[in-house]
Amino acid sequence: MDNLWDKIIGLFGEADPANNNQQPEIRMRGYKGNLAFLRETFGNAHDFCVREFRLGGDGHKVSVVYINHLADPSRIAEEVIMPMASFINMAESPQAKSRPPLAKQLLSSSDLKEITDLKQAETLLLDGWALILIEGLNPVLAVVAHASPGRAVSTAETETTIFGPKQAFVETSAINLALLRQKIKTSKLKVEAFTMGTKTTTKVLLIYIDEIAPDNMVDEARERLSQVEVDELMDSSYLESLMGFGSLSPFPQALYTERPDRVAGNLLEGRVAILVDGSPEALVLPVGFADLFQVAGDYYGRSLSVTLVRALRVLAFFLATTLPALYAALVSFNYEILPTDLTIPVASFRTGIPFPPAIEVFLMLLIVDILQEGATRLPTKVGQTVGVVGGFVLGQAIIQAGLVSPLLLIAIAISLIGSFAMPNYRVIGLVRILRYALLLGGSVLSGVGIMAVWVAIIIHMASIEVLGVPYLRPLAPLRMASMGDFIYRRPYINKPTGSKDNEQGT
Amino acid sequence: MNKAPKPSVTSFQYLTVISGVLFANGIMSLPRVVASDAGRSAWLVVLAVGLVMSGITLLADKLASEFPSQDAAEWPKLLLGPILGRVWMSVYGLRAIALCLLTAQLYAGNLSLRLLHETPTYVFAIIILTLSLMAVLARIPGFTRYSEAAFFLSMPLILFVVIPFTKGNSVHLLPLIGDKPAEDLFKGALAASYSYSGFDFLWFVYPYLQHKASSKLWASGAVLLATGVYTFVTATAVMFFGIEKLNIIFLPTLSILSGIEVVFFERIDSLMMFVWLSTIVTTAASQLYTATRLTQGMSSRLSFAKTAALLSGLLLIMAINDIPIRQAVAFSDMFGVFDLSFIISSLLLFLFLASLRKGKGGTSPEK
Repeated sequence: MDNLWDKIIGLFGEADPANNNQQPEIRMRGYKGNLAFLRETFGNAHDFCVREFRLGGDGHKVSVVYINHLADPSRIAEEVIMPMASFINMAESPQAKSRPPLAKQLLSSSDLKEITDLKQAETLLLDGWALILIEGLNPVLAVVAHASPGRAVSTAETETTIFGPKQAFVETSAINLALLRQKIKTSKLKVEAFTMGTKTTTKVLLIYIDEIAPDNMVDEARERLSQVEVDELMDSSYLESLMGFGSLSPFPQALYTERPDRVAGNLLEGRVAILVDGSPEALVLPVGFADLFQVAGDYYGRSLSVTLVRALRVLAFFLATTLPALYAALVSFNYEILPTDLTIPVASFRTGIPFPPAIEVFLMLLIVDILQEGATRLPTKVGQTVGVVGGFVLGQAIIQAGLVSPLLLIAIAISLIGSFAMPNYRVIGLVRILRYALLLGGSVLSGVGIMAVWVAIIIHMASIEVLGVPYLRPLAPLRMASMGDFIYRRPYINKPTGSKDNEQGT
Repeated sequence: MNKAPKPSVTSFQYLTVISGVLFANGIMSLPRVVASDAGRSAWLVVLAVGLVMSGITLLADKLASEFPSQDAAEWPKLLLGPILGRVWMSVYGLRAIALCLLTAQLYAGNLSLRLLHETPTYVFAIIILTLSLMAVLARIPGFTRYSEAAFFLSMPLILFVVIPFTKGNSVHLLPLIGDKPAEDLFKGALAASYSYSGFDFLWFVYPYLQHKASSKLWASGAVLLATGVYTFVTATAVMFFGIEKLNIIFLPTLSILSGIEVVFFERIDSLMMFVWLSTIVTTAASQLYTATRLTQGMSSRLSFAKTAALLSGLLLIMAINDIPIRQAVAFSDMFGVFDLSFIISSLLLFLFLASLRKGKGGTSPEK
């Protein structure tokens, strides 16, 4: 038996000298002490599993510890317990000594670690590893045994396109990284791993293409990521604010996308991407205001039709944000700005409306936003019903009751439809905030108020730099070279991809 | 000693910020102000003043190029010494505060006069100063980006002047020269000077320029662009109204736009007044920035953000006193002459001292 034990000890070799130099956070306490520590740490949780048996029948005690569902029990049985059992049988057989080196045969798992720090053991356990505690062997052995609780790769749900690839990211960063590697088959695709969240120990991957992404941009992204100190990191959306990109600004300063093709395209343009384990959305940095109007499908359509659609999106953005405020401003203060043919119907429709224009607009916006929020949270079919009831029935009733002008209803409807033309939900949120701010400006000071709010918005955008790149590019600073992918999307030509778009210092 | 500022301003931004600062001042009333003295030759006087100013701008850019990494809050002390340098900066700073306040008051007065009669002038002035503070806090890189965006926003509206130009009567421009004595033309030229106040802001932008070698071209181009617009607007106003009528129209530039009707707007002049706010903020912010940096230049321990906030607070208090629009316009005429004299004499003096000294240093603005 002792001979067998020596072989097991030899099986795992000497501890890594590099690890020996590091002071463990929580020292090993022997077989019983280690097991007791783990039981105490996890408080005997129902998914905390311990499989105990003895090596060679009455030999040393062995405990295999894992978290059910994070680690795969059948995989553990197949790759850990059964080989150890067969090893015992094999060791007891007369032919045992003639067998090939045991180290290669005992555990079939390709990833095996020797742990000398109980804190690390705890972390690995939470990451889906199985721990093997053997009586008399102070280090704990860890073997990879991840279960696959995540969903399979499926089609994109929030960024659907008619043309082009359909794949979307899942919640597992390793799979997401593989999806990216399928798109960009180059060794220059660099991946740097970070662990964030003292409680969640979430894996975060910083991805960029060497020699395309500017060094100073990558350095700043790395620096910002390494400075993140947080208890929990549940999703990639936490990172935008944690990395210090305008947590109080209404403007999205990172692109969230569930599409590997879109991330790949951005990486090839010299941007960096961040994948967070557990999040089906990648974070792409840096982005500018112009990027808010682009969707993945833009790159799979004809140049002119895409250009037209992008122009419509920009127009829709301004209508969605400014039209209600403009209505309130013109009707409240400056009728004279409207052409006479328009002034008369506007005035006649307003006759008998009990509220001042500003209150009228504000109430309608409030109702519409509540309806929109209600419909979003309901199942699809019920949501549609709420939309129909809200849009048609309630709208008709409000007009018949003489509470709002029909013209206002048209303005609100255009504004609402305009906001739906925005490529993603985060921009819709931005539109909503700007709409109320502009309404306030227009209600108080007419066109001057609207303009003052717009000036404040432009100053705010002009002051934003994301990883050294101005938010208003390519408009301010004007970059004609980048205009080919602003509203106008130039046709594809035989030209190598570069990173000119992300030139620094402006 | 601090490192040199990061070169973040493009040549085009240099042009837009200089021309943007100029446009806000005086374009609305310029045709009347000049024509009242220079008569039918007003547009020629404006053109001549613009050409002279373009040359002066070249000199101003040359002075800035003597101190490539320092702005006008730093090199006066090197050239005049610590005491005289501070005295000069005090006068220059007060002049910047006055120009900032005047710009805000003139626009606010015009708004009250034309569009929102019941709103007190100081409400608009406070809005302008608040927005200016925001722009100043964006620092030179952010501010120049804003001024570029404002340029794109407001310039297209100027193109509407083409419509009244085509409807105007060119007979009103005749004779091109000779209807007024040279003395009146000179008075007209002095009256036009206010429209060029603020071009010296380039002294604060220059250290941030990416391509300093071509700065002269862009700086003089900015003044020539403003001159082109001024000349065109003045000629249009003379053609459209005739000299007699023009002399009694308070804001002729707006009045020539008021007759234009497009699909959704019957009053382009009102739209112009709204959009012009963006240009007004460029000018007011440039002067607030100037005053802030000069205050910092006088005492290096002051922080940029706090100084800017303090100065804008003082300006807000000063803006609460409503100044009647006609008084503000009269003051702006006097101010323009003082401003031009002060800037040009300082410029020539500094160029002379710089040529003697040939000293170049490397401290950073906006500590």
